[in-house]
Amino acid sequence: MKNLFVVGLTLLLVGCSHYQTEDKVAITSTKPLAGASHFKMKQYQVDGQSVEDNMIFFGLDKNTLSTSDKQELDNIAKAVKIKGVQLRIEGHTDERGSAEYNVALGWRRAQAVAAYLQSQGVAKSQMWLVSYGKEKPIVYGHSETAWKLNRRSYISLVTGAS
Amino acid sequence: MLKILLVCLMPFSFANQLKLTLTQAQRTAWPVQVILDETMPIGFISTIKKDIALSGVMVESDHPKVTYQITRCDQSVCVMRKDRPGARMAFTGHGSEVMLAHQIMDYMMKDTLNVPGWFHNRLAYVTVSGNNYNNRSYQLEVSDITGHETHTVFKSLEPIMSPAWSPDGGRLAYVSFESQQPSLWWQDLKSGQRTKISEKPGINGAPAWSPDGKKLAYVMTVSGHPKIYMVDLHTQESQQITFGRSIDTEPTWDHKGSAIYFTSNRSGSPQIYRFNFSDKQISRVTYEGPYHVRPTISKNNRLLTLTKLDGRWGVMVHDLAKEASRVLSASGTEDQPMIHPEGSFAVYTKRFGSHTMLEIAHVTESIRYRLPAESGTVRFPTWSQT
Repeated sequence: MKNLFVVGLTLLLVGCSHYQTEDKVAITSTKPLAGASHFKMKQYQVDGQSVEDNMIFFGLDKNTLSTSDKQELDNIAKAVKIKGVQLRIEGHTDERGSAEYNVALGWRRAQAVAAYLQSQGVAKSQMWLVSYGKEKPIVYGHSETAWKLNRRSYISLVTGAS
Repeated sequence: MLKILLVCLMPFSFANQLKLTLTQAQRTAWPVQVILDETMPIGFISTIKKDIALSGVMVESDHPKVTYQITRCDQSVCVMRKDRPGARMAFTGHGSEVMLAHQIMDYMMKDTLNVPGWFHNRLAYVTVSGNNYNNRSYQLEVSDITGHETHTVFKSLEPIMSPAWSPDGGRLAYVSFESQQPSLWWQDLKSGQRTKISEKPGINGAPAWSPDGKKLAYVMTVSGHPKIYMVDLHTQESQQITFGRSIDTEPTWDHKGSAIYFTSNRSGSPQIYRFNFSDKQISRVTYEGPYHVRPTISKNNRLLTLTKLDGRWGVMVHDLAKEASRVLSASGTEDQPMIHPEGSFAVYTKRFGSHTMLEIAHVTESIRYRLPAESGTVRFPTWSQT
């Protein structure tokens, strides 16, 4: 499990020369996502400050953020604003509809998160947006429960090599 | 004469190969007799018998309307029609027994029924295996129409999307997330060589070759919104085709190269639109129903296949000349329809239990059959055009 994670990180770093990685960001722990325990949310230490991954869930065909979503994002915005680290913002959808149209819908979700973070002082250049559409569901399954978990935006910090 | 044909191919040794089940056949299949030279390879004989059954429009019979004799001749195989003894057609199959059978089947379909055969076409598709989020793998595969002669074009631990055949059948364009973001590639099928087309920040997706194979339409979000672009594969010059703040995606060329059909939510819900190259005008194509996506068009530029949501998800065919539609299948799980270039069949994905498989349906008759994967999920089925 740990090995897989390391491989994943290495791929991320090797594959994306676009990222300006920041050595000050270190993963301190992970915790399972509620409702999908195989998905590990990361916690980081950024210059003594603790920051967590964010997972925002959306309604059907929606890309609007709730007040509580915004509060969670405020936390991440503060750390990013101060330290100048990089954020990766993924957009995802449920399985219904065509694959490429869902990529566009996932893009809208990532954009909605980025727009809010920008309004909180995060620079555009600090955010890397990727839409997977319906290609990477957190959970397989064809129920409303599965769909709810899969309509999401995943916000994580880009970690340095150390 | 009601004929229900059931054909099961032998189980395959490779996990990702396809197994094919014919579930329904046309009510009035055309009776033919095929007399085979017994020295023909067994693989050839079994393939041609299966193809006849699978066609849905021909059936082997002791009371044939047409009889064909298949014999070896020089370096190839010759087909002769009993009632026209002078005329012989020679085939080679390019060294493959299976492809030889498919070529001859296509010839017989065209000859007896004046229906373009589609057995020589190949399918590209993506298989997804692994049920765990942390343990999935993706394979871009090519096979013949019956799931034989499978070979893997590209493998990745990250998603592969939207394979598109070049018109000459020599290359596949596709989207790969191998670098944790989407990038657009084309790959030469003979040499395996890959060439990156686009990896801009944001979306790089939905590739579609122009009919002359020189250009590629695709989607980027350089302007902030998903928009259709076109790149000249020789000069690498790219230009924006659609503008504005809506989602525009899933471009597909008409076969003259004079227009691009695409999905757009510019009117609120997603519908199909047409961009004309001559006057740069965009017109709406679909009206009935709240949700239409994923257009592909037949070679005569007349039939579009689409995914629709109208109470229930399904796939349909839309006749542009008659402005009429027919639902091909609507169990609620169908997606990614693609019409065969000759316009008589469409392939799409459909979920059966926990498996997503390929189904092929006739656009007007009630013929349909499945190409189920033995494991995992099959996605993005795409016919070759040659």
